Amino acid sequence: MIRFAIISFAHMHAYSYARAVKELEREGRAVLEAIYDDDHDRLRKTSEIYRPRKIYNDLEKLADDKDVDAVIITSENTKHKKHAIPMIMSGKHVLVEKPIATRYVDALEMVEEAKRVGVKFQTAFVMRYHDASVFVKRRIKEIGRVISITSTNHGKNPMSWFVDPELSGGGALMDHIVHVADLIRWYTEKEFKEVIAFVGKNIIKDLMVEDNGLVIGRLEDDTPVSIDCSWSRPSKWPVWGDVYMHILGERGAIVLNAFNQNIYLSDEEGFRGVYYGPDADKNMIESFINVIERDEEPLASGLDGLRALEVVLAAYRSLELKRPVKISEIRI
Amino acid sequence: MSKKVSLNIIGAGFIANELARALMMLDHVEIYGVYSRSIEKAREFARRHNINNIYDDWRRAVSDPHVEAVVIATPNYTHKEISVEAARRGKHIFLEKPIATRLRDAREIIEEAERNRVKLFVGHCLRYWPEYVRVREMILRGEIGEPRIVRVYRLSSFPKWSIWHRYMSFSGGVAVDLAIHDIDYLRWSIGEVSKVYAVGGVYTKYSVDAIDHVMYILEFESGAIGYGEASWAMPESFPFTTYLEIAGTKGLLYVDNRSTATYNEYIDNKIITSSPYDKNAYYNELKTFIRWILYDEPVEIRPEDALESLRIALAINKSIEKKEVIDVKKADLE
Repeated sequence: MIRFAIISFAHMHAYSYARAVKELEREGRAVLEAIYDDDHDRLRKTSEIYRPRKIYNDLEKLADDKDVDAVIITSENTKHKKHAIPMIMSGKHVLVEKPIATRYVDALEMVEEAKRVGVKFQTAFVMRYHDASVFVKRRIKEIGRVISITSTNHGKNPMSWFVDPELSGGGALMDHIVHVADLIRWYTEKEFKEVIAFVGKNIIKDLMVEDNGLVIGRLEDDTPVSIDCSWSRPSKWPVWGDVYMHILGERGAIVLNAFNQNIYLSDEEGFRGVYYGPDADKNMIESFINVIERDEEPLASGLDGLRALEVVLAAYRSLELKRPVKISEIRI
Repeated sequence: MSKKVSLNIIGAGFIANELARALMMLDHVEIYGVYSRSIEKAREFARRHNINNIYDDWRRAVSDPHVEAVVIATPNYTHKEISVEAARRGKHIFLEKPIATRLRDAREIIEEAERNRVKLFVGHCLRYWPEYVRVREMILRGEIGEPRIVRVYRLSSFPKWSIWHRYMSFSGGVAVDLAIHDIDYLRWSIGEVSKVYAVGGVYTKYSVDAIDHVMYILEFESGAIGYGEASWAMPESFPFTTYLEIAGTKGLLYVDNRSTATYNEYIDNKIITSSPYDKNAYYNELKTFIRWILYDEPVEIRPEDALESLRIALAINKSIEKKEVIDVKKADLE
């Protein structure tokens, strides 16, 4: 049984992670020990919904709380490191929302610090815990050597702090490259070698970050891959977005459409899809509990978080340089 | 919490395999043995699922003192004899749907279970598939208002893994074997059915006398109506297809299995289309059954529901035979 603290509800995924922790609480596997938030109103509101045993607005006090075994960090992207390091130092296991950080040095410091102290450090790549994408991993050898991968992670524009570069570190590229970049690495067991990115004129006017992006990359064996990370779904689109891939192998092909299980409903509020597929969030947190209790390695580690971030950073660099950028160019 | 339910699986066919896979994932279960009429098939099944004991005599399998429950997944026409014997031996029973092929058989199973105070769970798995669960929740919450017009399909090529489907007296035809899924679900979600009209017949060369294609209309007591279709007559290349649509006074919803598939695989001429789910409906229904045994947790499906669903399926067959509208409560469906 693991006692969790959730650090910040800035990221909307915090709500589904909290819901999953509460479900696991009923199953005797977890406790929601505490919530920390630097936003007072939000702290009051979320503590009323999820009823943690304690609430904190002081990070040091949370770090000192010996009743907290593990933290889930769902703050704004640029705050991940600031929130993670004191927790690692006080011996708490960490599950950090993606992207792991917005700068290479921050991600590296978190990963190395966790390794030094000896706590578990997992990146919230939920797609590694979704039954359909897990099934692809099980079957991928059947299609032989992978020849190419096309992928999309579309969504609606999340607005709020996601469009404030001080807090998000970037727009659609920062938000949506990492999930599918991670799946590509996981499936092929190969690293990215280089990427080139294109960003068009924004869909929504006057944003301080990009709301669209297309990436083409090559893996270490020159396998071509592509990623569409755009926030291109209109606010009234019936579902939030997608995680889609088609993978061509020498002996066959696999198509993954992970969030395709929706009941479509038209009522006074309009037309929308109601998702009924696997609960990847809960699977992920259950897996994190197992990792801690059985002293295993996380399926999606901090290093996986770092490797996916490298792809994002190379994509941004390529926007500046207007050419393909090698991953090795952004490592320091 | 360490207590385990020890059980035998009766049958080693298609559904037995699905059920065994789900049972393996459950904590409080020990699969003690498996029965098949063919000892070779039982041995193969036992090897695949890591089961220690095999039987080729079902009477021994349902009376073995090592087990307190049985999971029966044998051909439809055998359900009565095996379930009645299992009940007499004091075993809790998970019985694959349909409960039986005749009403009097269904009643006999239910009475025998009651007399021997054993739990009888009929596996109407639609009540445990996530999309069907979610749709029912949406109906109960009033998200589409009062349901008015319903549409359901369950379309398949002919099941060729065994021969009993081909005979009306063994399987009950596609109404009793397949349409019964949707019938049970709709009774659970919309309410009682008062009248049935159906057309259909024997369409494929595989069927001896089993009706393999039915198109039916249900009239509900609530005033809602529903169109349904269940088929074993689709071409072999036609993927298994389910569809559910409900129009209500405040909205309309629909869901199908094909446009919502999350996984497609293409190797040579073979196509696999599915939505992988480790903890699927078989897992959920068996978990419910096991928790019913261990903790007496209430279950949604009562044996009488399975009997009523069978009654409506038989009304479909009767309507096809008589070419008449069947009043479900009044008609002689024995």
